[in-house]
Amino acid sequence: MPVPQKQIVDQAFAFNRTASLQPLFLKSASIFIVLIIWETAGRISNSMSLPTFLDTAVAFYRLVLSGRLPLALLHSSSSMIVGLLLALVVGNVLGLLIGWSRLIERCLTVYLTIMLAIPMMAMIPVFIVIFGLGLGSRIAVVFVFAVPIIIINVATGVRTVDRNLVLMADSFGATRLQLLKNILLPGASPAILAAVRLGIGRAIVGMIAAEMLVVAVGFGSLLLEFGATMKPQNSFAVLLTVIGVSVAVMALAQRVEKRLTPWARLKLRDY
Amino acid sequence: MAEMNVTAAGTRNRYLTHYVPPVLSLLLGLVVWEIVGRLRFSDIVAPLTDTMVAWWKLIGTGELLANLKISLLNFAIGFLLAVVTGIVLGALMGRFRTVQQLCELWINLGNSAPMLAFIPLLIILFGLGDTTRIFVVYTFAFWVIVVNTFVGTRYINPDLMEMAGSFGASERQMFWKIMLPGALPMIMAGLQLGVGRAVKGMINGEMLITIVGLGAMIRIYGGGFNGSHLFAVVITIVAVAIILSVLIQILHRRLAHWDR
Repeated sequence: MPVPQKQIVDQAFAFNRTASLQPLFLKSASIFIVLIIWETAGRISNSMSLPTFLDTAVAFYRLVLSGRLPLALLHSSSSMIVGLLLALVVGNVLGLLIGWSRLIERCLTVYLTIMLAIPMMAMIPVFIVIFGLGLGSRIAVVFVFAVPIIIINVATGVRTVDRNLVLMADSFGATRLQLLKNILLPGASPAILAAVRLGIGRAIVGMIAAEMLVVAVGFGSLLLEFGATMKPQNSFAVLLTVIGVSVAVMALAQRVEKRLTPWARLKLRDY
Repeated sequence: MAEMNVTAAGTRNRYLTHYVPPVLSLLLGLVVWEIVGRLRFSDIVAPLTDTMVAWWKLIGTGELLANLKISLLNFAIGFLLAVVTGIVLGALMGRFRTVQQLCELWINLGNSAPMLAFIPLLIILFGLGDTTRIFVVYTFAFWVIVVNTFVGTRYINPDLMEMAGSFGASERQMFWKIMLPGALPMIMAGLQLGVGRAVKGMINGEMLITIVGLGAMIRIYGGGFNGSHLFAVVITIVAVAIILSVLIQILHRRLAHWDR
């Protein structure tokens, strides 16, 4: 006996609905569980060090209303944006060169390995001496945090461009420059977008490091102030804002990436 | 005979193109470092030779090795904890959809959040002791290990699982004989990334929480703008990070001899 068409569609739809609702339920459940644990832990410990979730939420609301948190975001992001843009320009140029020429790759890989292994935090005094205790140092710190990962991902992207396309361009007599412009650059565009996203993540870390160790501005100055005045709910609110902003920016970058290069399935190199 | 000569020349050429450029470029870099240092802009830009002398001196007094020991002890505890808990949680997420759906959000969050920002928070929660520093190492390494183990165990070749199932493998056998070996390359890649991050977590913790170990040396020599000593410590840290990474590679080859 043939099953009526409508029944099949209904069943399929019902299946789809439960399938899409269940993860959503579990996801929100996991958020609730964590918030409840936090709230009870804060209430039980009743200490100065661990504020409850509700206290933190109130502190966050007050800091936003008073304009201190938005102002800090503005101050902090100024150095981040300049440093990141510089890192993107330099990183893309070097990454393309490394992907384009084996000789350049062999010469620069040593330095990339070293840059990835160096704890950049340790080099901050060097930047302070060279660029002074101000915006210059903060930009430099953001730059060195972000640039290695951008170079590596762009270079990997160029290397993974379809070999057949490169061979075809070669056999049709393309010059090295045409090869770079017409084949390698478009082929590496997914990797370049991914490099932007990973670079943003690193730049935020650099920004925080600079504000902790170079000069306290923006979020850094708020953290120092609240840490000194023993207001843990305020510190928590600031920290969670920093973390939330960075996660949101990364998620946004990932959205843009998926929208612009939906075909891309590539392996990221995230050190 | 002629053929042999051709291949010999070929290998020699390959040696020339593969090993000469990086060595030359490294040498050039070292020479530039020495020259820039000799121009004496400031004490912090110390030349290579001064750095080597400082390194030798720090080894001689035992300061470097003693601090290295302190640092590596905390590092080992934090990293091993991250490896064990990271692999367990990642494998659970790969095996059970419910665990995945409960944890995925937090794992993604942890993986993209700047761990450095958590340090003040960890100080508030756990104080200024060894525990906090071990925890920093842990949080730096943990997320990437979880993500890699999860991806490795989730995307196991389904044919293998099906075959094991139809040959009557138990849940435990499936885990130990199919999932774990299948995920091993991804897990080892996770450890590789994790070990680098853990070294950074170790240094950050020692610079920002309790001033001990190699991080303390960086604080002292960096704060005094003593370039030669600072660079000597930094070179040691880079060497440690590279050696640890090579050790993980060797472990990878030992465990997964089929995966090249």
